[in-house]
Amino acid sequence: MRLLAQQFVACRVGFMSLRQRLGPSSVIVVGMGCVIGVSLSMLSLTAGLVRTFSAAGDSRHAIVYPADATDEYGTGLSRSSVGIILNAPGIAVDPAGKPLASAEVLEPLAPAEGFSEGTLMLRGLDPQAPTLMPGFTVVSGRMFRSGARELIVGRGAESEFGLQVGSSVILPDGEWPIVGEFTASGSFVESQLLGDAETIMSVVRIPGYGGVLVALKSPAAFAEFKRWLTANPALAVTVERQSDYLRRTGSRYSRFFTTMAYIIGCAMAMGALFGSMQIMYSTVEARTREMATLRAIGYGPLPIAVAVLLETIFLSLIGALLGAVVAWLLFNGKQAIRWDAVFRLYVSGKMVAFGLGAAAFLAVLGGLMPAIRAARSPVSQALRAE
Amino acid sequence: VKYWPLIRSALLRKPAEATLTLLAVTCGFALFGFMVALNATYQRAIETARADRIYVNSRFDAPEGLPIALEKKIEGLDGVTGVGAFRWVSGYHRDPKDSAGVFTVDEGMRVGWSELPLSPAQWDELFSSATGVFATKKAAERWGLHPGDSFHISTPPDMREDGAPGWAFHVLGVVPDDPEWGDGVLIGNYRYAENARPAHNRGYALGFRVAVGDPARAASIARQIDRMFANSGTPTHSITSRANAQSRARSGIAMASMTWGVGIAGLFMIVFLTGNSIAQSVRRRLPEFATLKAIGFTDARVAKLVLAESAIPCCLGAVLGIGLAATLAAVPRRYVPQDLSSVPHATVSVTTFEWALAFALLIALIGSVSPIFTLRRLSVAVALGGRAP
Repeated sequence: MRLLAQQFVACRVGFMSLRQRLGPSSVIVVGMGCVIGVSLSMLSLTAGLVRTFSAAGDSRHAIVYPADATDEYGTGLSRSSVGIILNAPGIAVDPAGKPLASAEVLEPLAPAEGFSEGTLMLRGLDPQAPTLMPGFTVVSGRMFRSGARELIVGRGAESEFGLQVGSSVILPDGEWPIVGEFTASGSFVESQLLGDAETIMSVVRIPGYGGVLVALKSPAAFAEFKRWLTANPALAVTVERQSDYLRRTGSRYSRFFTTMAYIIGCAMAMGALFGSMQIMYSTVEARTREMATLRAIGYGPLPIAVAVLLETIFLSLIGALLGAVVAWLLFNGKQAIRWDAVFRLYVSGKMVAFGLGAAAFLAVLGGLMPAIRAARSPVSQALRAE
Repeated sequence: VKYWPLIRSALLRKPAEATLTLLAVTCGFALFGFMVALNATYQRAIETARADRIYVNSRFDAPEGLPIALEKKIEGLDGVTGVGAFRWVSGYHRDPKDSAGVFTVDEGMRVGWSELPLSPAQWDELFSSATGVFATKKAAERWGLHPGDSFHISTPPDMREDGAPGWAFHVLGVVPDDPEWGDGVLIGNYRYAENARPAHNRGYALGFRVAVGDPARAASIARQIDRMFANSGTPTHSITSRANAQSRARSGIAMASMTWGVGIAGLFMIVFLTGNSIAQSVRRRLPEFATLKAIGFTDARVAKLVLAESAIPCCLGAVLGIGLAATLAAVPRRYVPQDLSSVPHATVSVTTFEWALAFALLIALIGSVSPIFTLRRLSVAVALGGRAP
């Protein structure tokens, strides 16, 4: 109890003199603010991409693509294979008894003048596929019709490339009008153009499908569905839960930013660490007398050391919070593009918590040695100093 | 220089603190230097991409590419000074795993790709020889090629009219590398390759390179080309070389825009740090400065002393930091994590050094402004009397 009371007083003395040490203290605040601000800004790219990819997933959905591919971007799935896949057990059916599935194909496009090819994906799908897309809504115009040479555009592609209802897209043997605009809970599908798979394949002369998306009766039906397909000698396919598939392919988009964020964050953290160490050493030195006085009237060395440490943590947390706020203000919700995915940057609460944790950890590292010095300085000598 | 002992003793008064400050400044500058260097690489990639060249490719993956007849139509457009066609002969060299190809070009490339490091005589040589190829330096190194060597590419038998299972080329010469082809390229004769293909497979080009007289008109000519073939069976995708580089930098790397932000955050950290340490140092040594003033040092001279004291660790940190950045930039490719393989080699140049030093001096200046004014207002008597000013 006495220790706690001593701790409280030691901290109070330190915090009260903080106002006289605004200059040095601000170095710690700014340093940590820069570290956390920059790291979170870069991680907001990763978080935004992860959110965009996971938004399209549903645990009841599975995706099937050729075994020699790693994703659905190929054309290796023949019509007959699709027919076999749709016979697999566990697939949910619509009221009419038709399996809830969509054989799809992707074609890279150049979205607009001045963009390289492959920045925009045209997805050919089954007209009933929208039931497989969480939150799919046509927000203006109408849905594309089966068999017609027309497309609908996602909101992300609309705002990034200016492809609106009424504009047209060049395809072989004529242009296709965009007849509608859709949203799909902010998922990456919103960065694409959608149209009827069969029509697109015949016009662009695509030999086969890239993959089949199916809705299962229940998440538990996946094991049997997968077993049936992979054991089928007439097929050579990979079966994956859609959520796993999206996490895996999505990380290809974000891994670069994550690695970069940590490397740059670490480099900056080193700088901030040395900086805060320097500041705390000089603070401890400036307050030698004050601390020695406390020691002389019977305070233990532990409360003194902890007070120094707490002060470092306090200043670092303020800095980290400021950095997080700046990162949030500057980047949260900002639209960006990575290859063919249009997404919005995202600074999540979890990331801010991580930033604060990292700042506290750095503060302990930086404050530890000065705190030990504060606790160890001999009282009599300290009181006589200067 | 005369006051060097004064400055030195000031700097070394607290060796531990001075070292920590220097380390922090070094970290900040290393980050800044690396970012500036990275930015320079991105900028260079965009700047070396020419604004007066248009790539014309098939808009959709057609196995054969575009009909060669498009070349004449594009040539006829107003503002176009030359069009060259290209097509690959691709297969493998000796080992099926060692994929190899010859980039065959036609006469139009003399203008369409005039920046290719071939002299007029070499162009003549290329087009007068059937199987001759020029290798850029990197390609020559990869396969150990010298002028006069032969180079065989194995292909499926249906790639040639005569059914032969491969193509025999011979090396005419080795030319400098083209920045567009990071891994080097072998350049061959389009007409020879065309004549050797089976009849049904002749008359196509994978794409064209178009030279435009006025770079300002390039974008509109690209648009014109695409409109011209928009309703055909083989729509084209035309983009200027510069726009292509910009588009890639924007969507693929998205890093160029970040480099300055991160670099500036690094500097911002240093500003506060050095500003504080010089202020602290001056505050501790008020009596020393008062003595100097008492023995006749002018304000300007005192200011110079303060400035030198803050500039030295700053500049030293800048030099060390950039040195560190240069070391990092020189790390061989194979040690770079695979996730970062899309980051190009940072180019730490003399300019990077100059930028860093300029910023170091600026930061030293910013940091010493307030202490200098404190000293200006310093009352000698009060300070020497040991009372707080």
